[in-house]
Amino acid sequence: MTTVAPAAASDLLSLMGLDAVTSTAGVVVLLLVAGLLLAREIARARGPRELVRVARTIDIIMAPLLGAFLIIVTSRLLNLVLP
Amino acid sequence: MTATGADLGRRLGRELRDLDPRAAWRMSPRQWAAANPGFVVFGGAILGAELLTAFGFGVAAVAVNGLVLVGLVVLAALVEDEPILGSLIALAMVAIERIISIAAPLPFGGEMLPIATTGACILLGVAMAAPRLGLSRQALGLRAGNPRALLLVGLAGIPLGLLGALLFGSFPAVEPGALAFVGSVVTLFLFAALVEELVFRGLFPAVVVRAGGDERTGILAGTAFWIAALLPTLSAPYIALMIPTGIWFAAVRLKTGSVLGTTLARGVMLVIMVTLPAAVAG
Repeated sequence: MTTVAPAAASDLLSLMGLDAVTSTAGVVVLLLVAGLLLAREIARARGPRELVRVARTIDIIMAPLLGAFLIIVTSRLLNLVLP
Repeated sequence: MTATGADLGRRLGRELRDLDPRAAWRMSPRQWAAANPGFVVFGGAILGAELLTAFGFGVAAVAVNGLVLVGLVVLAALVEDEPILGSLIALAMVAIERIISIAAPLPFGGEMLPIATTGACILLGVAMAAPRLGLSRQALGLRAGNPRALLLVGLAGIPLGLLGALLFGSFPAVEPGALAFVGSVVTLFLFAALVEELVFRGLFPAVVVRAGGDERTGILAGTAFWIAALLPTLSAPYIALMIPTGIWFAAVRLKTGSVLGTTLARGVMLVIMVTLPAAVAG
């Protein structure tokens, strides 16, 4: 699966360009990260039981998405810095 | 050897922790699907997103997978049953894998780096999910078992790789140089083969069993998602090869209880598929 996805991603890159991909699909990731952080804080505010169950679930989902967030930011920065 | 009171206490604690009122009976795949409508609905949405990816609507696929993640979090907040939560987290890993692979492109580092970054993110997710869900390494299929059987299963990757290279030409290319080759081999074994097997034939059966299902149900569900994830190749001969391969991998996982043999086979297969076309051409 991970070997198939880069082919689909490179097709999308060649079709749309890096800026367009990170400004559309990338924005979905950024919104997800922001939304999940918000949800985590709401869960924390509701009480210890919700904090344990929901916040920990969100933590699991957040960890790989934060990795994606870092990759998107790095891509954008390198695209600006590199000729 | 005499067991001390502390040893007995620890053993009792472990047994109580593993005690599952549903362990005495296991639901059939149909019963389990009927008892877990959330899994079926969100699983169907993920399969739909794979079709969108296959037909070139990558951004739409990312959006659908994003909505699935939001839905899974809402459902996780509503679900009281901890084991059901585990099956939702397994589905989330599939959605996240597709989101990262499409939405986080790297315009440098060749074609192997995106495989490594996507795989590393998912490994991190599984590493965080396993202790949260109380899944041991054995439950995830990370056990050596019989080394001879493991090696024999791994060797099956050679004919599979040759067939794959023959049927599916356009595969990620390896950069020239010995270091790049070693890096590619490590990437394919660790971040492609191991991640695939750990998620689809490790995490899925483990969480389904925890949620009262049969191990068969989990392996079948994981293998179905694994095959669906190959749809974006749009290569009918390659998918036709991978369907029986996936079923065989599922049978091996069921028989040996380990994902290491199939990881070895998938890794060998991928390395051959990546290197053989370049070797023949050049």
